[in-house]
Amino acid sequence: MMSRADLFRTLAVYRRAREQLVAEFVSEAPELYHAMFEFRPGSVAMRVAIDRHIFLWLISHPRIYQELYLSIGERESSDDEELFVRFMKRYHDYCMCFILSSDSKTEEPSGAIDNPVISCLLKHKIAFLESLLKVNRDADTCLQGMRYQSTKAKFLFERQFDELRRQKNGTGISE
Amino acid sequence: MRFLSYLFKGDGNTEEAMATQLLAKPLIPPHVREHDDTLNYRTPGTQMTQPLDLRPVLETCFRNVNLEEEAKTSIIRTILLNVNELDSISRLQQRLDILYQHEKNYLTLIKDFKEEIKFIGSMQEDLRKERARFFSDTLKEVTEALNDAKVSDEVASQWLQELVGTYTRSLDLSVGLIEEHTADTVGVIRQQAQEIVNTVAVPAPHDEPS
Repeated sequence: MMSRADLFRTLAVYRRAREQLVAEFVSEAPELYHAMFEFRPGSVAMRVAIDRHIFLWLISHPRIYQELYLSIGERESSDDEELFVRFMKRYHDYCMCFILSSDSKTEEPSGAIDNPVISCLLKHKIAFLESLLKVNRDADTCLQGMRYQSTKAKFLFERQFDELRRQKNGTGISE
Repeated sequence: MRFLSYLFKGDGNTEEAMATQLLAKPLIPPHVREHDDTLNYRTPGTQMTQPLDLRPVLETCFRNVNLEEEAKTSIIRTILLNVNELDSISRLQQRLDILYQHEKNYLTLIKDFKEEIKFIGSMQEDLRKERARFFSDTLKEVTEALNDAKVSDEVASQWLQELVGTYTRSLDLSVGLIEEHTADTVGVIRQQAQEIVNTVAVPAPHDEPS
């Protein structure tokens, strides 16, 4: 059974993530708005830009958890470690929900990730998360692994984006 | 007691002795005998007592009494009626005691989980407010920001749709977590309530007063 602390922390992280999602729009975050002006509405590139944004937002959750509840550079108590590992399990399910809805191919905007490449990246990330949780119950190692995965995912996104930009400047097929 | 004493009063030494003997026997449950004047007693424990078969005892007592058979039968019937009435009240009291204990334990259980129930309620309330605020205020702010930044309507619409989808999905998943927690808590309460029920003896059908 999920404890009160588990529920409280998880909901607080999700809430903070939602606040940050909105804050980027309200504060005219350059990275976000840049994509809005760079690609044509309805184009593949715009779709990828949107999915990328959701993906980056989704993978920011463990970092938010760390900011809220884990002390940087300090050894966590066993309770905190347990809570973190349990959070990661729920976070795994949370990510799955964003992917599963994209697999259902609904027409309505569902907040799901449509792009197969990004969806695939997220699936890889979730698989990694699963293997991490299976073998490791140490919060620090878990976080390091998550950071590595986030950096890698960001890099792969940028590569995907560059490819789209090249296509746009060259043949214009993707637009 | 007073009833039985009155019944045998002035009928000779034998009758008085038999009445004394009858009263000395534990025919009536101790807690009934101790409080039969007021009937305002507490049942010790929660176990239901077995019904009393008083008739053969009374018949034995009255066998040598110098009275007509009809009178003896009438007296025995009267005694049985009175004792049965006491017995019925005793059983009713026992049932009331069980109900009281049951309700008391339930209330204690609810009290134990009061904080948990409040916590769940406040989490749900927060999410409801956040959802309402998102659609009433936040979306307006975002739209204004997009307009101020001169983002085209088409692009703004596409991004807004995704924002609404992502935001509400996250809210829905949060609600789902609370529901899961609520279901778990209800399960624990039910389990503990069941344990309480199991500790209380339920009277068997043959315990019903005749």
